[in-house]
Amino acid sequence: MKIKDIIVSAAALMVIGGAVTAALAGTNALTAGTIADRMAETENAARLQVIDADDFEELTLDDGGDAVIYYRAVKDGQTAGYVFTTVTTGKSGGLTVMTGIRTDGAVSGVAVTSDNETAGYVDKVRGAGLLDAFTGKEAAGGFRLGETVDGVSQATKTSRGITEGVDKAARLFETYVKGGAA
Amino acid sequence: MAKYVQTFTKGLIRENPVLRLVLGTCPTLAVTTAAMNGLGMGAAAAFVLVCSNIVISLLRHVIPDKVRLPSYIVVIAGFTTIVQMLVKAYLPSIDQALGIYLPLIVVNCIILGRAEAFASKNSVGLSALDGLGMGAGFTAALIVMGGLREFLGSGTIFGWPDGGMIPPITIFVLPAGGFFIFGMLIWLTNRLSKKLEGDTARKELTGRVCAACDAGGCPNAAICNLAAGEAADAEKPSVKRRESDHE
Repeated sequence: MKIKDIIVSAAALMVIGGAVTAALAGTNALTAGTIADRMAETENAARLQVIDADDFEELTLDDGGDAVIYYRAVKDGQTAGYVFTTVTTGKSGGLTVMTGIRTDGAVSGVAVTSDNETAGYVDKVRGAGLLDAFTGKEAAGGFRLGETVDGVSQATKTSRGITEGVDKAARLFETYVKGGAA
Repeated sequence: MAKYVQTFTKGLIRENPVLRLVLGTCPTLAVTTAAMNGLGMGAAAAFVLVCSNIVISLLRHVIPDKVRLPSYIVVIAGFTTIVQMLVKAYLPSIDQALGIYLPLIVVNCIILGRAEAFASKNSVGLSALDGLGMGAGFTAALIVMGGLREFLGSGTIFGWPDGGMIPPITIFVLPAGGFFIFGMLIWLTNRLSKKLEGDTARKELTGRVCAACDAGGCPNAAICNLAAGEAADAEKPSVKRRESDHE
């Protein structure tokens, strides 16, 4: 390969790379704002599934060295409750469960916000009413599959993962928010 | 004129990228759990395919031969990222459904395959039509496959009606059902292609079985032709490629 070839090839690649970069920068400038708005909207909409509120305030607490981000739900200027997001393992890892707990200690709602479960399993659990089964139950006692709530057959691991997520949220609420340790 | 029409229509059935050339199987199997996802994936890939075909065809005399593949990939990656940003901003539900498979359009072999096999050797108009045809074929295949899997696996069509009209057979939205439907569709397209062009007669005439052979640039062409007794052709595939550049 002659030196001239190398220079021509490198220059061509550089020009193409530069042009593509410019196009991407343009698109990014156009869409970045909308994407950020959408993300905030999606996150708020997800939190509204588990608790009724006008606004959410981001808070952090220290759980034995782990920083936990949770949200305070504000309704009519008053604290209505808290939203915790916990990650557990169902059939696969990364089962993300969002739990809303009212100030009086009752669960206001549970949602699965992301998962790596086999396609259709979370829908099956949702359809069987496992998520609704938590609503209204006291967080104080914690949650155990088969005792406080019934699992969904054929999706036992997913059911257990979700229950563990809610249980963890209940523990965080009891220890730090209600217990005042935060 | 016939050449233009043919360039567009060949991607629909005869050289359907997924069902006849069996390219891009990974997104095909992964996202087709619902018809809407198939449509989103197909449209996104078709957009990237048309744009990259046009740009690569425009630059076909400028890009040095030795760095053509990196150049193609950079162009394709650029368009894919643009699509990804647009979808994220304006169609968030599609973005969520497609997940990682949207950025993975970069390495979708249909797109690089068309760049190398067609756009780098043909005029801008033909390349755009080729991209449109291939994109339409890809999209149609994904919609049919997603539609069948959604109907059988969830009981709905494009998410309608809410409760589903038949009891869902969950296996069809699972990977195993995907492979089953994929196989059935390939069988169907093969039958259809044979009807359309009388494949049997052609096979006897040329010894070629696969439509990709005539399209040129198929990486397996050498092996295929060898098997068909065309050893002379197979010996110098690179020489053949050069010649077609000057057509």
